[in-house]
Amino acid sequence: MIYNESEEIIIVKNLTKYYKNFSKSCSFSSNNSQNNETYFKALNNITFSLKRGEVLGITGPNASGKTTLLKVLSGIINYDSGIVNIYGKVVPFLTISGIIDKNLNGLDNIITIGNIFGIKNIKEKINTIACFSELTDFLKMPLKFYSSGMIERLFLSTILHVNSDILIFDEIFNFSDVHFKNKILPEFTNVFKNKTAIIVSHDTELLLNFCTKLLILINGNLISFDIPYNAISTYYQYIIQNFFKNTISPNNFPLFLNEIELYNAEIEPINNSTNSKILKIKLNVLLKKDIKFGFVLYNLFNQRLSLILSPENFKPKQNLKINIITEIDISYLNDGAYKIDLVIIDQEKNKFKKIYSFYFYIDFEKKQPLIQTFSLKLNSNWLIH
Amino acid sequence: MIIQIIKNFLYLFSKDFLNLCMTFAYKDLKSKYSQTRFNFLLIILQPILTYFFNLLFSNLIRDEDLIPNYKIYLFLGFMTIYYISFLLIYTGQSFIQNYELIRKTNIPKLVFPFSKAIVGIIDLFFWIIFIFILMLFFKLEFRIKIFFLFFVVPLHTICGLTLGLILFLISYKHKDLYLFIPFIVSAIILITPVFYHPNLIPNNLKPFLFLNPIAGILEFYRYIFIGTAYNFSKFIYSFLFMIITFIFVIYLFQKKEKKISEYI
Repeated sequence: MIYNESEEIIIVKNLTKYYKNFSKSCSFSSNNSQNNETYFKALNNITFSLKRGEVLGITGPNASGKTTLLKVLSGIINYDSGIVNIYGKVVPFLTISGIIDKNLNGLDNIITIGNIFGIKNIKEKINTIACFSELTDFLKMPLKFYSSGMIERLFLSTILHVNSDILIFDEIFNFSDVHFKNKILPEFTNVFKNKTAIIVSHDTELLLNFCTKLLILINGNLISFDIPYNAISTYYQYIIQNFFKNTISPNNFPLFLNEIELYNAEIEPINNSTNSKILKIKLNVLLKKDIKFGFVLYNLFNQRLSLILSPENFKPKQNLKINIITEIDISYLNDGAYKIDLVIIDQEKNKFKKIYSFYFYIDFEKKQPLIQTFSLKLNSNWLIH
Repeated sequence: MIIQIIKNFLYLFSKDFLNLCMTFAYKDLKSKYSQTRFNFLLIILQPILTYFFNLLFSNLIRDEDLIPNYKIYLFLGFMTIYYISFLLIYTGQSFIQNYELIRKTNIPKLVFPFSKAIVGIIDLFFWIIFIFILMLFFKLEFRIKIFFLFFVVPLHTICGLTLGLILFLISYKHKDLYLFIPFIVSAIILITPVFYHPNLIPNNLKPFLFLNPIAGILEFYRYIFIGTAYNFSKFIYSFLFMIITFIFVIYLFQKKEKKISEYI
């Protein structure tokens, strides 16, 4: 079959969807019971379009309307206004637990999944599915004895055989181990050829590897619809501005923090985002004891990346308000969102005590994968004013 | 609109729809009996137990002189009510049981009650087999009328599904009405001549009997198996009304399908 690459398969214009909230207040004694109908806007003026062969990733915080959008596109629920034009057969995979039956064995479940999603000659494909999922020995066991990962394997291996124009996935690659993920994802790349797919996930790596476009939804609003790199950058900057708040710990003895400021190399204050290769942190502190302190760098998933400690010979005066400037070389970091904690080192307990946290976004436009996951030793320079 | 109604109705006979119904019926049956020790033997147990209950009841009131073959007469009454109440209860329950599939897949939602109806027909099949055994035991004659079963069983199914779907359509947002299913079943038993002979109904109330399609179905079964008198022409209006209602309810359901997915 010859496909027209520029053919638009999904067209969504000004899509808006409300959910009705029933909040009834009634009392037995009075007649003036009220029936207040309130509306919750789940999707607000969403506009985008997809061509054949494109893979769209959708991400955003919980309760931002991702599943609602998928349900509207799958034709499961109605929408209130706008236009949704879909040219082709849509098969949504929004749930695994609802489709499988835990009382039935693996074989019966493969047949059920196959029939629900219209896989032709499913019985002939059972062997291939069993081998691929590496569950041949367990197929005659009821699914209640399977782990979540095994169930996901069985489900994903079966739906590889679905033949449809548009495939929609909602967070279904969650429980598989690394080995199976590495095995199944290339298979899905083959499945997606000449098809249109939509994947909702919080796994940024997966979205960046798989998708040709990324759509960011926050509180029902479309924040970005762009190539994955740009969309993710917009998303991270947005959440740093709106969701994460810099926090100060109330109990900060023996380091009393008066002021903390972030500057770039040119000593311009950094609000949220920077493209400077040097990060300058200016502290105004009062120390009550001779302590060791430093900064801990985390990625957005709270994975610790680096520890920047004050040097051994760095002995600021005690009981005096002093300014400390720490210069950190961040040129080795990837683009993305980060958190830095100011910490005191408790050497007896071998623990950090957090004093202050702040978030920032690095935008070097390196166009590299955004999630820094490996540890780095960052060079730092400590000065007392 | 009429074209749409007919189109929606004809969809029920499409290969995709029937295939899905069979899948869910199979899944249902297997899942239902997978945790039992006697598996499918339990299906046969239901009519047998009902018959023993019948024996007790018919011996108690000694009604053999008034109604010939009272044991089978009563058994047929129980069978009709069993299947109607099965559909009445499970139509709504099938949606609630499969709510995740309703909310998260785009398969036609009518598959669920229809697959339950298939499970019910399998039950009914064993009840009918048991009646054949009883007929042999009581040396009743098998007549050609038995072929009317191919007409009355679908009618019976349509009646149960119509009632079940109406109940569901009224109460899918607020489930209040489901609390009253036992009362609805009791009311059906009262207004249908399950225990008593239709002749016992006063003449001025008799027209109401002919408005009740369940009574029509029950009397039809009795006509087929034990040869009681049956006036089809008097029941035909209620049957026609029921079939038209069924087709309309199917249309209404398909129209509201997306709303149901949202609210269930």
